[in-house]
Amino acid sequence: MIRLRPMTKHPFRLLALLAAVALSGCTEKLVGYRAEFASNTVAVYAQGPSGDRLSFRVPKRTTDLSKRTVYLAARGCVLHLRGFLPLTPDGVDDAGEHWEVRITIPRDVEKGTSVGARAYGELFIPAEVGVISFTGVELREPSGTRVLGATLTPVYKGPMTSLGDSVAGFLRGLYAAR
Amino acid sequence: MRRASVAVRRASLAALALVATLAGAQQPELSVTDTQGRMGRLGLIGKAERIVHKGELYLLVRLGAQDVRRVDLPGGRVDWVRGGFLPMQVACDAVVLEADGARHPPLTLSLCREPVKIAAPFPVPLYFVFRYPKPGRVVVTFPITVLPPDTPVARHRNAPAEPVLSDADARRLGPQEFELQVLVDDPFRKPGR
Repeated sequence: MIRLRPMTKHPFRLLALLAAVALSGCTEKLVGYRAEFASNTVAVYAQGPSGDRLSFRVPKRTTDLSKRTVYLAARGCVLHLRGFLPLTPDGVDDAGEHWEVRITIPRDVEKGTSVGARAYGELFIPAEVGVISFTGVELREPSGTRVLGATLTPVYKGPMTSLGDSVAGFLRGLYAAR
Repeated sequence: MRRASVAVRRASLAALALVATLAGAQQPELSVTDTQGRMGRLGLIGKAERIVHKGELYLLVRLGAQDVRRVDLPGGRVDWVRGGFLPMQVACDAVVLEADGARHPPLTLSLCREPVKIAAPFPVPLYFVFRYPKPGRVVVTFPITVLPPDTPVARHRNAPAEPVLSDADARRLGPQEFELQVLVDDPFRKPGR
């Protein structure tokens, strides 16, 4: 004779296991910041999120409204995010026509943006303008700074977002192959 | 129907008030006063904000310069004019914050620690960091030396070798002290109390 017994031992373990799986599935980790710089005079592009390090490219030179050459000194730039200590570059590399600037974003910004909020501020880049003297030699005069509006968006990643990205990539591939 | 619309209106007003309160709580900028407009006459701008560094509160004071100056007209009127910017040297190590009768120098977190020359308008602002003082009015004093303008690059053979300085500008030269009053608030005070 077969007796059916209700499961009394294992349901809690099963529930705990399911909860752990669900929690690990929903847990997201900060993978970096997406930065946008807004200006109508200088084009500064940030690279993708890479931890607490922010990298962006600053052109070495541009022109002003009088068609004079403006030289940007990326070494002296300052990123001021509202509510946090202003940041200076950890290092500046020469990348041909651009300066490659690296800035470490402190943990305070991560905590301040942990609820999905963005960090807003300004990026100041010192500039010098080239003035050609009557001898034909170009000399540089200080020309203040170029100020760009900065927006930092934290980027989080977890198993669910990775799965979502994979599905989205697959669907995009399907659509492209159509 | 009417009751429902009133409820919706009240809910939306409450949501709006909540958003406004939260937005106000997020604003770190503090109210500042340029004493007698003296900084404005040189084209200097002061700002103050509350910042968080390593989980602690600090007061960040920012000194900038622009090429718009305050001009006092007869009859107590005030106007703002462009041009006439004079270079100046800021003694960063001598800047002090006066609060509760004590004088506090800027902390080493400050980006400006040595004398700095502001050669042109709109420079990178000078940042000074202080411990967050008790709520109330505090005064930040900046020792600044106004310098004669630099000799411009000669674009023509007969260009003047020395910059032209008006009498009014000549009177502005030399060491001076500028005061910025900051109204420090209590960041932990709940809004509406």
